[in-house]
Amino acid sequence: MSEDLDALILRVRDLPHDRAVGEVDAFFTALPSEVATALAESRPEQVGPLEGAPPELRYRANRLILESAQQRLHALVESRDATLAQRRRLLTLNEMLEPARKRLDVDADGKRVEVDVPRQFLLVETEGQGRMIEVQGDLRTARNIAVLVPGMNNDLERVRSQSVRAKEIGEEAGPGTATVVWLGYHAPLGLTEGRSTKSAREAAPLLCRSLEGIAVVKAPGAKVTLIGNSYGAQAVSRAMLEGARAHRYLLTGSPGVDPSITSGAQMTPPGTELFAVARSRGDYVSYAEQHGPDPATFPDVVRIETDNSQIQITGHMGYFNKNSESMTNVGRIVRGDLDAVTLAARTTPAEESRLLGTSWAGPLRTLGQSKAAVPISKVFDGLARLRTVASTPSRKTVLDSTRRSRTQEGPER
Amino acid sequence: MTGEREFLRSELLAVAEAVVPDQRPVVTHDPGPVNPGVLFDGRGTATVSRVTIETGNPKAPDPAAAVDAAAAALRARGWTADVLPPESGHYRVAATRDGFDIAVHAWSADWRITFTGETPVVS
Repeated sequence: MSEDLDALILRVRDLPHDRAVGEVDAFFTALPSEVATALAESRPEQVGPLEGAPPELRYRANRLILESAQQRLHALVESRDATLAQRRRLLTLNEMLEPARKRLDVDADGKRVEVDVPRQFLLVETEGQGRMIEVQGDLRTARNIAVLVPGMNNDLERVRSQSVRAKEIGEEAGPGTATVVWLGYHAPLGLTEGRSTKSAREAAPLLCRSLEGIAVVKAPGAKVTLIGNSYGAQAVSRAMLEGARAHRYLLTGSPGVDPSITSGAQMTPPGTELFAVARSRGDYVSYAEQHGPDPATFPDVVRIETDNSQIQITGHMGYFNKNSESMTNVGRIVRGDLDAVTLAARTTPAEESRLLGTSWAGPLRTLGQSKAAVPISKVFDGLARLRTVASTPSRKTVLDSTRRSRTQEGPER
Repeated sequence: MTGEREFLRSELLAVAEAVVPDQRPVVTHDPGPVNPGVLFDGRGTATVSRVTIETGNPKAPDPAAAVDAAAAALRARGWTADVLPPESGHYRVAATRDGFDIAVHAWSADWRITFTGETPVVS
């Protein structure tokens, strides 16, 4: 069976995404469940990331990968051979092995019970900057699925805030929602890397295949919303150009798609229900148009409102702020309540800058596309690295955390 | 940060208990500080704590009454709270106080009421 799996992986590698996940799905469907489980447990590195394999098997395989990496790093820390980065990574793995949260449910007698919700990963890469794809909710039964692609500076350590964001998107969208944090790519770390579209180009086919993997397991009528934030919007846009299969698309704080892309029609895959964008006032990333014209300026996209009477968002960081119109609209889009989505006025960056009492939209765009952006980015990245070192955990913290984690999870393996 | 987080959790629990007095609210998510601004300043320390509480009576859900009661409880504790118009079975309250934010979600399709809050950003 192990040889059959190897042959399958080799065969589907270069197939079109839909055919590849179809073959994988057929392979596992034909297996008795105990054989499939045994395969996931004996070959976790192969089954864990395999698009089209049943999510339950992938969750199991990826947990085994995490546990193995945790044990390896723990041994390094115990022997005092661990680097600072390895100690940080061990803390991250400890957290990834803990339950995501609790939820209230009812038992067979209709009584309320508290249930631990385990974390569910469709991908974990524990080496280097790391990658992961996390599912919150039930992909098989959800009526609506939101796939959130985070942007720059997200590695395995820092993506935890995106998991919290995904949970809040699920709360906004309501019952019957599953969310996916898709850090299935190596996001740029720092402005210098962020000036390149290389990461997004590499992400696009991976994201396309992941979406096909979701399509093969989701309920027949379930709708998928693909959300790209900041550099994640660049990755989503590249995937759209490659035919990524979702029903609705939302780009927030996009740095642009490509110099040749000036309309939604050029990038919207067939069957799209909605292509929406958000740009708040003073979003310097969108104003800079680092990678091409801002999609918020395209004449044929839906530009959603970000402000309401209570909360006005400015800058690049607020699209998912609690109780903001932007976040409310995210929930409406994910659950398909499209008539309720509120639309923004079609203001220009210059008009928005004037509203803020400044007029730096034009200069920012010029700077973002000039040679001066390179040294400025390097200076910024150097300062940011200094801040990272300052927040590195102590060895004692790492070990204490590991012990707590093991106590909660059961006996050591 | 610890003080803000504990204050937020205690406020959420108190309001949830007021909304459904005969049920014990449950802290369902309290992961500790996170950094929501991971884009440019994400290399620094975590700056915000977010806490989620759930409660509800599975035998007698009433989302409209729940959000009204939540808003009243919040106001009584010094929060500015608005009940927003229901939308496709979604009932909600938006509340703020001294930089803290709370959202209360209730749904006609679910008996659970979710109280989720966020501390002010600590730099």
